Amino acid sequence: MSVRALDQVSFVVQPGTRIAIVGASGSGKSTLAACLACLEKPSSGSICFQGRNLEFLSESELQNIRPQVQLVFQDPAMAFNPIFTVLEILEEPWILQTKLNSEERKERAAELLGRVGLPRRILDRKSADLSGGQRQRLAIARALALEPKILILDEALSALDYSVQAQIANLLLDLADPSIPLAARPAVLFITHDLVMAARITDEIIVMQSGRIVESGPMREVMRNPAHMATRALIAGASGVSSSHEKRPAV
Amino acid sequence: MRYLARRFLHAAMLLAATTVVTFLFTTLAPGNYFDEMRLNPQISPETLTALKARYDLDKPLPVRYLVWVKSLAHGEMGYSFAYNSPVLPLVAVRARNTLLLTITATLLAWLIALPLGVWSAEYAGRWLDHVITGTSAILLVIPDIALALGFLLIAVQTRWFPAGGMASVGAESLPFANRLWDLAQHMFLPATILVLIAQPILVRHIRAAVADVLGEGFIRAAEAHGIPRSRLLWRYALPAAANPLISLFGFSIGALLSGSLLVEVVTSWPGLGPFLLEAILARDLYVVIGGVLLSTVFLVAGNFIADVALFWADPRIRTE
Repeated sequence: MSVRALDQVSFVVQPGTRIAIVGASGSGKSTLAACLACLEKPSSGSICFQGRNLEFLSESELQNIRPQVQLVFQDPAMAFNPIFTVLEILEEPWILQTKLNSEERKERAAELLGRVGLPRRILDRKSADLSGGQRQRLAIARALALEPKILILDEALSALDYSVQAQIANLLLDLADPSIPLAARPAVLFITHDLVMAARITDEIIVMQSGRIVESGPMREVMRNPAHMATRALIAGASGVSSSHEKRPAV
Repeated sequence: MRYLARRFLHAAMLLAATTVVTFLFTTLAPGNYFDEMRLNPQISPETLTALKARYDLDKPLPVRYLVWVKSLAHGEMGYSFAYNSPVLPLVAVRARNTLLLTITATLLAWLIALPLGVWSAEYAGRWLDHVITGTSAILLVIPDIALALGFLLIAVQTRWFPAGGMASVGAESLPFANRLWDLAQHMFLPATILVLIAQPILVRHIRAAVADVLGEGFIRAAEAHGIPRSRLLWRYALPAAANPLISLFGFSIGALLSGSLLVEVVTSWPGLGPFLLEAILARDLYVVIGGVLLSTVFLVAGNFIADVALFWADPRIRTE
């Protein structure tokens, strides 16, 4: 029996925008992320990147697109080659795509670590030696290493404690700093079921249910006047959670 | 380092145990070299008794074992009844030839099996995978002796390559490069048979190990990172799958070594195989013990090399 994971999903991501994609488990969020990152091919429909339909691109052309659409997974422990050091993890794309020598790559890796709040001294460590929060920040650093046009975070903060979530949220807000030229600012797709965090980080929201987009629009507007039952349920759930838990640290 | 020291100690104990067991089994087997002589009317019972006494065969088993250990310490490894000479120089030449063949075959087998196993995992379920796994299955069911005899037949019929021995007549007077070429030609037949014997096991293990790793999240993450597929296979998947394969490397040395004894006999390669067979038939006790001991040394050394490689490759073992 075939299951239609995504159906009639259509939206546009403009440069520099931050969009939350929310929905309950099984609503198709992660499938959407995998399709956007060119890891899955949709059985029908099309995904266009900078005007090019990905469906008609060869594997080598997709290879060139993939670095520009970066996906950060939920489980950072599984995302790194266990035998690579942090430096090797970060410098891999530069070895393949730039002519930087090893010293330059090391400097750039240290700079990138600094950007996500990690110390330079971890460059020689293996990912298994890092904490969960450090690994997730490393995953984001790796994604940023390629200066992607789109950064997709697939439940990337779900497994982290609140203080680390807040640090990463700050980092994502820094990426959208208006002082950075628009062309250098990645669009952020923040896939989550945590509406509270989504509201803090993003400007727009897409609500999914059973593989379909049931509501979308500016974050404030949708949060204030949710039109669909699924959105109302998520907001109700989020307010229930925030009222029953201790207050989260300010972002 | 404690890990390596422990492995070294295991290896030493295994070797010591092998000497005891081999000595026990070979000595307790009915008949000995001098029983054959008893049939010769020209040799008197007194001469036989004197010969047995000369080689300590009239002494109790523990004493004979200790005498043999002493001769091992003196670099003799006992005395060959048939060759009337210390065993070590006799087996050393044959062991060198066996090592040459086994090491060449092991390296070739891995060089061929690695890409085949990796491609088979990468194209799992597609025609290339079917061809590789199908060929492996066929090779697996063919008995080693049938494979060896089949290739010997081909060599004899076609004369494409030498069918036996290790060098052509007069090869020793040739320049070094020509001698090497002559050796390579002679090695082609036994090495090919050994490589084919080893292939199915190696390919299947490599395929399984790499296929496991290809399903890991970090491969998917690296793919999303734009790392080309070939690099994913060789720089990511294969090193991550290395641990079971390194252990398999040690095992493959042992398997090829025992396989080589049979292949050497069939292809007349002057290694330990024909020499051991001859010694077993002649009940040349200390040659058999020496040959088995040297084979065990190679096997244990192969596994120890694998342990060292594992120690180097896997940080978890280093921190154990």
